[in-house]
Amino acid sequence: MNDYILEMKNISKSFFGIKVLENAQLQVKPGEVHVLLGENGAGKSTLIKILSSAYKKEAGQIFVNGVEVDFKSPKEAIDNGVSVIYQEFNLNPHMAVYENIYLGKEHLRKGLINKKESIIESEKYMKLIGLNVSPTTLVSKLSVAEKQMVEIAKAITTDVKVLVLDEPTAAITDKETEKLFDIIRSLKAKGVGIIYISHRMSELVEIGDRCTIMRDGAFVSTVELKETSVDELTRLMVGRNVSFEKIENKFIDKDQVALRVENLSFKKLLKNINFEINKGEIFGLAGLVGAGRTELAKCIIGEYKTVGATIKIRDHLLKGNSVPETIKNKMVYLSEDRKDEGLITIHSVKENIALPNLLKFKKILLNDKKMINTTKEYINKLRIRTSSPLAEVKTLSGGNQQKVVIAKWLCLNADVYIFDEPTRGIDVGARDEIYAIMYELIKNGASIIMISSDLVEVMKMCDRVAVMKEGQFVTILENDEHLTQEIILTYALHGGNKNEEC
Amino acid sequence: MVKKILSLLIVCVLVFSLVGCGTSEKKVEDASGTDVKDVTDTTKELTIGFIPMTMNNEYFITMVNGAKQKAKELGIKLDVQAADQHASAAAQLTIIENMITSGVDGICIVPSSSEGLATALEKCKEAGVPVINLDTIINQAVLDEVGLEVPFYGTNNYEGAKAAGEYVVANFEAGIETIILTGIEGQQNAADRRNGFFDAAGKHVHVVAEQSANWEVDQGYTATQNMLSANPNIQLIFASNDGMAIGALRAVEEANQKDTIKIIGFDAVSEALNLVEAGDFLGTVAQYPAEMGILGVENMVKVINGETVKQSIDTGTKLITIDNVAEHKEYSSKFAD
Amino acid sequence: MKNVSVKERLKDKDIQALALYIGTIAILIILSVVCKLLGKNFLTVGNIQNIINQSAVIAVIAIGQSIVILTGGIDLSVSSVVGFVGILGGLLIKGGMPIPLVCILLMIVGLALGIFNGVFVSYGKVPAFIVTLGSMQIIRGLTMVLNSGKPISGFPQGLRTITNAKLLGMPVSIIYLFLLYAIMITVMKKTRLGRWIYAIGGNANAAKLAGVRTKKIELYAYAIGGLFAAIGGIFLLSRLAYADPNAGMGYELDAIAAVVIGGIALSGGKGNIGNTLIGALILGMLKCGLQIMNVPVYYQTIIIGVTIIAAVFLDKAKERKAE
Repeated sequence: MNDYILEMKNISKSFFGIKVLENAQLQVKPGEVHVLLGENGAGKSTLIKILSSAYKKEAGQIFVNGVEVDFKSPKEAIDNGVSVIYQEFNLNPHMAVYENIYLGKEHLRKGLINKKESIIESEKYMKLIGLNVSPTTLVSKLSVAEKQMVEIAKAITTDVKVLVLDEPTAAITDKETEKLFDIIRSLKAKGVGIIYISHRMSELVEIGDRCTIMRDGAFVSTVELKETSVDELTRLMVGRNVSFEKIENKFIDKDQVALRVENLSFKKLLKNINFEINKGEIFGLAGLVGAGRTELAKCIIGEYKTVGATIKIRDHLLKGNSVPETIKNKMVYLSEDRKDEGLITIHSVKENIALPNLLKFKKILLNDKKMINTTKEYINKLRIRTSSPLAEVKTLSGGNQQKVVIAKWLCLNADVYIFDEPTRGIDVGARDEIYAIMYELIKNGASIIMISSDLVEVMKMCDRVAVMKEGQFVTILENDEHLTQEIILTYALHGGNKNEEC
Repeated sequence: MVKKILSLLIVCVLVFSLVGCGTSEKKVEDASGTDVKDVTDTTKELTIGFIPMTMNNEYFITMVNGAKQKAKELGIKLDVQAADQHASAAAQLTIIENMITSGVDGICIVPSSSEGLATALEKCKEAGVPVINLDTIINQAVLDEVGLEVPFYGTNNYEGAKAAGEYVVANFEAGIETIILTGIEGQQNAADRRNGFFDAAGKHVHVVAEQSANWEVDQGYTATQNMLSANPNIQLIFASNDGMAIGALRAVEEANQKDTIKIIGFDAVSEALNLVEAGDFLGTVAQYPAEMGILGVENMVKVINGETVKQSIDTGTKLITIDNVAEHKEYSSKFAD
Repeated sequence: MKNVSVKERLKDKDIQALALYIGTIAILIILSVVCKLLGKNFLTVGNIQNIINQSAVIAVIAIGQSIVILTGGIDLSVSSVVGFVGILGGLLIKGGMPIPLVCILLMIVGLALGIFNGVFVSYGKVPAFIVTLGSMQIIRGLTMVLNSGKPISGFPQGLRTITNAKLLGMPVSIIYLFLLYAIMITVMKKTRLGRWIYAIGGNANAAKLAGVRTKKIELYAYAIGGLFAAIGGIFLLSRLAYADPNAGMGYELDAIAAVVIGGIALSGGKGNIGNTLIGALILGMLKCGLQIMNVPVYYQTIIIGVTIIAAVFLDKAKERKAE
């Protein structure tokens, strides 16, 4: 009998002649949740992609149940019990749930797909993990959490031995997370080896058994999570200490209102939102996914069209419903979805930073040299790690991409920044840098609205926290010594009424 | 990047050297009947540029074959070029410019339209390259504008269609329901063929419908289908070319009206001759495209050598029916590929 | 950091662009050498002028097509605009309107036809392929209606002069062509409109949130597409001194071919409009070279098809390697 259900030894891989993995290793026991921890760019996803054979390894060996394997295609990996559920799901949104579950391994009868049997079979697996929708529902109609469960159902239809979950909780609510954990525990009980990738420390401790830490493409250590503190994990991962203390904000000017929002409603998603924030303040928006926080941000900046709302920046009343007008008045939105909404990833750092600031570089024609110089300035100021101002943004890591987004608005010299999940998918080290930049912003008199699902970060950064539920503000809390994560969570879940059953 | 450029270069060199090989081989082959000449030596032998309207049509292929046979016989080179897909004045102008560059001694051309070649003819005039006009006559106004005299060898489409019309008058009862399929709107030969038939037989038969099928088989098929369903008592179809006539035949067969409907085509392509032989077509109007090619090449050599040539030759038309189809087939087989 | 040598590779895109130009010139030289070996006059001064002249119509249309494709769209209707402008212009000139006035009017008509496409694409959210497929048919139909499908000829000499007059020893059409490219290269590189067009093609959502009025700019792109199609139509009308209602058929594909050979991605957002000119000239050069070499017609189309695929295939070499 083997101790390990999966063993990866001395894995190396390079792109364009640079080593991105060097002698990486991973040993997963059957029936354990093995956390893979590391900053972005540490080589976690490359290692996983080698496991699923999306990438070819250059050196090293992989053993499943003690037998050396060399998968030629992801399908072969799946057939041999190695399934990966990526952050971006591999589902066809225009097909029904059961079709997705059996995609590539359809139930056939006389060469034709046996629909009835597929439905019955997939329902069995869906029950097993508690996915309560009809198997004939289109995937596009499902929530993120439900899609994830479809992926899991898909994985367990084969005799799965190793299941990799890449940031499975990034886009789902806490309640859904609990459900996911239940599923993970039941798979664990069946002896499946689970590799779990996440940046959320609290989660790791809750669900994980052991943890392998990677840094710069190399193996650092494998530890028992029960015996290791979060600080220690962070230190191993980043190579230095990181603080979660609340920052001290001495820059709030209570006499100056930076932004005032009155009577904002939007379709059925937002109901009568009113608030104001002061100059130098960081105003948090907490709540579950789907509470309407992103919608609120998009209404404020005018991307979503609202009727009857009053939005004032400083003393200036916006005509409303126009992103260009909002930007002209120095209020900007940094989307949670950097790839789709924040950046033009096929364009260079320079182009991205210059885009909203073109007037700055214009006499009659645009001055390219000036653009490059300004870009260099911000690359230095924000310590953006890029090969050159002309490098395409897609070649940058998540944290550095986020810094490019910030740079373009810094260059505009904005007064109000709306950060939507500013550190999602960003590793701890880079997070600190983002926090430092935010601190720098309020120091210089800007105000910030921060939408975040990470309560640790909300508690660290915000001066006040508005908790949203079902499109409304439940409460606005001062972030003083009495505030705890539990209080915020209670408001987010039950609207402040602790006695109410959920 | 450097690699990319290098590989692009290599591809280009390869393509061109392949093409180079291909053409020189061909030349040797062509010349094998006569004495073998240095393939790169273009200065000593005459080269005639030959521009049919297109090269995806049996009519023009036959014409080119006639011209090629004549060229071989006379020991001169023939440079055949045609627009790739669309027979347009723009493409023909480009071809003529390039032929002048490559140094042809004369150009025989079937213009894509009667009026479109003013600029091209002017270029020929400037370069001193003589032109012979085949098949589709260039408008006199255009020639006057350029100030060029161009001999024309071809048939009169109008007369050919008229012959078909006269045959109908002689062999059919008055007042039978007839439909006419015409070529591309706005083309002179399309108008001539339609008018020739109509002027001869229009008063005799009852034309119930007339529609353009753009010279195409499939359009002839659908147009006929539509017209048949609207007019079930049709007895005669005149199609301005054989392609459309073949399309019409399909539609007639499908409607089970083959016994009652007679079809006349135009051009006498080989398939149409077979159909006449089999009794599916009543007839098709023959032109003599090979003759045009032969006359073009023959007279161009004379022009280049300073001799005078006839300004106009009618290569004639003939209605081919079951009575004379065998004879015509034998004649055309000489110019088939 | 780990990406050291990637950095080196990505450094200085300008040098890359320069390399492309040098490469193209090298191709030119090779073509002419091969032709010389075959004993043909290729790439003499007169012939180069010919090639540019022959390519000019496609090259001009391809400017507009490049801009539309850079937004991530496509314009199939350019071919019909060429025909429409020709017939309309022919009628107006025949009706006695002064030629310069006709030209201006035709450009406005092109602009309007482009706006028609643009409105449906940007505000109507109908896919560009479908809108322009439809308008291609509509405009061609209108062209037929205008003059009952008949061509027009017998124009005053002045019509030919507008592109054929000589300046500095070359036809003015060549000067116009380079001028138009110079203007549009500047617009795309050095003005906000140009940057916005790239931004929309790169990521319309991100552009919108960066304050770009995406719908309006997209509309502009199609308007420009129509404008240049009309200019191409004027070039053709003047070159032939003949208005053909079927003129321009298939030009949309030639223009798209020029654009992709020039390296602009069909998905939009990336590429250099100057290289479109090179793409159009490569096509023209190839057609001319093959005709001069007396390559049989059937093979010419095959070779041109191979070239289109080969150019883009090589362009994607870097991406394939990255996988």
